[in-house]
Amino acid sequence: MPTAFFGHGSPLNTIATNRYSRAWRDYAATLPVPRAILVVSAHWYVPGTRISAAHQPRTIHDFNANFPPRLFDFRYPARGDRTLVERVVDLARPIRVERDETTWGIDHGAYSILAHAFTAAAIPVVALSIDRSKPAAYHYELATRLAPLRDEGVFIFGSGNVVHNLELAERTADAEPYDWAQRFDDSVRELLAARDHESLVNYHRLGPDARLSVPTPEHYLPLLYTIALQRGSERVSTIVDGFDFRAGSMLSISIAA
Amino acid sequence: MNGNAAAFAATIAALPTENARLHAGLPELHALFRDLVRAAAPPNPQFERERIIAQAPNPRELVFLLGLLSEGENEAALLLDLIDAVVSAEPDAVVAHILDEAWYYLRTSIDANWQLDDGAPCAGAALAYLFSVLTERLDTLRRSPPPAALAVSIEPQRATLLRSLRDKMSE
Repeated sequence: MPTAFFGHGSPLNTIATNRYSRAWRDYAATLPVPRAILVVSAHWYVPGTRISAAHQPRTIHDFNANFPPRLFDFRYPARGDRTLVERVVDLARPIRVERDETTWGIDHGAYSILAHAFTAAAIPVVALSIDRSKPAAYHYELATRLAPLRDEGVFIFGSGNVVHNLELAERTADAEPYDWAQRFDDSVRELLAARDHESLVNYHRLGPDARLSVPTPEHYLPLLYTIALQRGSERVSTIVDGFDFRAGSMLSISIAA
Repeated sequence: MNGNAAAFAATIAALPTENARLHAGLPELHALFRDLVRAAAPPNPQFERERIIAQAPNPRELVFLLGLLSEGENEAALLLDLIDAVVSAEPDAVVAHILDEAWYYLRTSIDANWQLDDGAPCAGAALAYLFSVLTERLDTLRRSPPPAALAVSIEPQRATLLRSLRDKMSE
């Protein structure tokens, strides 16, 4: 099973049809039908590593009230998957993964992609949180432990944005990205192509462009969960790319043989 | 900076490590959160405010809810608590990434364009800054306390309403 990272952008992409949503849909159509989906979203960023264990995970509307009612009405009614939950708990040991049946479910980082890629919501979805207290290397290491799931028909994807700086975002349609944002995006692509995972994990050493592009880590870290699953002969390919609001990279990649 | 905030900053600055400054200073920040809730809640003799405030699981969130803490300040305060919790559980844990994030939120709560900094983040300075701005807000609140709570209505029609509802539901 391939694995992927999606730049999810605005929550509005959930209900939009645009070149990103079409690319996500077209990419999913090339995949074998997954037995289940494991998602690592930028928006479940909490102290502790948790896994969503509800039989029917809630749709979480984790954005402010300025978004349109139609977005708050959106539901992604996929089931959970207790077998996958227990498998992740086992694979992660000795890292402790806490089962979470109540506080979280499927957030917009997950369903903005799922709504287009797996429209029918017929495949069970399980979410894994990003432990806010841990450094980047921890996340990469945890993800390597999950690699056997790919052989068990589980589609694992990270959802975030390689460049994500809301404070400097400009809500101007089709504006060119900031120079620093474009340079960092290009650097990440080069490191992905060179399979330089060490530099990608230590992104904070990549200079001022990295500090502006990844001012806080939660949207970048899902990329590490994806690249940690890369096997020897596998290559990285671009699903779609581009920028929103000058400071939001929409780069999405797939890793497959 | 007022006298209390200056004394707080001097006290924690005298401690030998950043972690010691957080561990000693955070309880005082938490106490300040409770003072802010006390000062912001409308006076109401029927309100068991002391019990409610003392037992509130997270006074910081109440202060945020009341609009007395900006989003960036709230995140920074949350992350300072997280650093203290992580280091208390595991003294050698890596926490630089958490402090970086807290410092970023504090900087951008002051100026969204303040994205780069020449100096390293400083947990003690972040804590003393939060203590200072919240002390200023507490002083402001105490100078102009909030209006009294809405009076609970006991008009005759309320009795009629309750009786009619009971009659309907007893049918």
